Amino acid sequence: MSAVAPVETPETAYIWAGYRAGQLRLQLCDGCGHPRFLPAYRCSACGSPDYTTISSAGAGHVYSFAVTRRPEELPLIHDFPVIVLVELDEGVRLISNLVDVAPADVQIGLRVQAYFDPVTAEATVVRFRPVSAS
Amino acid sequence: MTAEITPVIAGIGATEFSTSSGRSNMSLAVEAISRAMADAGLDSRQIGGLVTFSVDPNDPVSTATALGLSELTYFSITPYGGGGGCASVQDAAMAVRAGLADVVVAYRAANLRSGTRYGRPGPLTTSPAENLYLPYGLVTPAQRATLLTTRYLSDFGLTNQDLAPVAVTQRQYAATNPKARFFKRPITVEDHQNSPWIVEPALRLFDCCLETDGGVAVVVTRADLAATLDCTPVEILATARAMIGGTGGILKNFYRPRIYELPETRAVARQLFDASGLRPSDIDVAQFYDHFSPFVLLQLEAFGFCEDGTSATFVADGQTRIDGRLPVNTHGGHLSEGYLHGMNAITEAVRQLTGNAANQVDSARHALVSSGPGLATSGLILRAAA
Ligand SMILES: [Zn+2]
Repeated sequence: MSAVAPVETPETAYIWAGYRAGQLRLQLCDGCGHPRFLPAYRCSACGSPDYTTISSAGAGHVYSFAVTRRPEELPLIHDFPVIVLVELDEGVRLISNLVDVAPADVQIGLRVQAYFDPVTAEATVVRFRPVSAS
Repeated sequence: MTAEITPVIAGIGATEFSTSSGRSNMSLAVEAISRAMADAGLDSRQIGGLVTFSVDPNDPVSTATALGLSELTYFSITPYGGGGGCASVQDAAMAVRAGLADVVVAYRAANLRSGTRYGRPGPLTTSPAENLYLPYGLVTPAQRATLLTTRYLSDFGLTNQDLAPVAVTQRQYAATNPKARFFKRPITVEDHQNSPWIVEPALRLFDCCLETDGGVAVVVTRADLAATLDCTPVEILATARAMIGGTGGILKNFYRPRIYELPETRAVARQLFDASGLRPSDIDVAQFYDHFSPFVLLQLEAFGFCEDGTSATFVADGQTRIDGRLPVNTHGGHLSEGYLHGMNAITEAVRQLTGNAANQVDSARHALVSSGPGLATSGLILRAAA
């Protein structure tokens, strides 16, 4: 199994549309500048309902990671065994996969860069590579 | 002025814990509840309320039918899976204290190994957060727990080997607990390190709880009623629940300043100690929810028993053993007795306070119990009868 297509919802549609357009979109609070990746209707820092959608530069580092070994029949485990929690330089985190690196070489702090991977005719996801390999 | 009602746990009951019960979920629930009511010295027909927590297949209406009950005056289902275990006893205690029912049973029963398994991917969901994880293969609790644990281990210079004393200590407890699935089967640190990886670099097989078939029930009633019964009641001294926004759901707290801090558990701890007037040094025995071994360490820190980053040394030094400073998960825990979503931890706390535990802590008076950390969660402090 190599791909699980995303299920878009009203809250996340702008994120998936961004990936199709080659953009990693974040919400930036108009009230205090606090950035967020998980969509929300109000800012967790200042409560403002207003925000601007921006496009991240896609650069960041590995904040944490998990290399799945069991059960072996999980979706994506063979093609993309490394799940990463990336912390973008804009200050938000998101879940993705890290590719072009041996699982044993993944380390917290590793610099990574986003790229966009069309997994089906309709769906594109964001994945990351180590900066040295991109 | 009416005297205040004090809620107590008057009885506990459980089925056998197994990998394949060969029975229905409901028959497990009925057995556990009937045993708990008998333990309290009550007839099952005296049940006035039923509380379970989410993901239990036996809802209160069908359970009441199966038990042959005619009229209930209280019922609820507390949310968030393993986070809701102690909250189910809190619900029962609130109902008793408010006079809504005199006898309320909190229960959980399911074929959690031979039936629907918790450790496997759940059904597809369209929650806003969940669909941002699934396409990357983040589908199991073990993967989500590893993201917290990897960062914790790294920040404090620890490795998976530092988790081994948690698993070994709890296996030792299970080895002398006839109810445990791992009765008479202790392990060594080497066994732990030789067990297969589930998710690197945090969790090996022996770091993960045991999906288990079984049922557990707890009878909550008024202290004055319990005093008339043939039972040994335990006082429900403090109860708490807490949730924190900004997360995507169960074990998906990826956006916090420090991912492994467990702010919900810290909020539960603060409430329990404030309400009871106790401090961590007053607790004689603790049953921490251990879906995965690193969460024992994280909860030792979140409840204030250890400074952040020092709990692995605390456990390695033997401080959670029966003769240590704080015996922890004295039944073997979910890692080694069985995984009934925290309800078997509550019954173990009651056994410790009534002097009936397989691994009895000398003169245990105050017991702490926690529910699933890393999600909306809950907790209890129980006190032995004076
Ligand atoms: Zn703001």
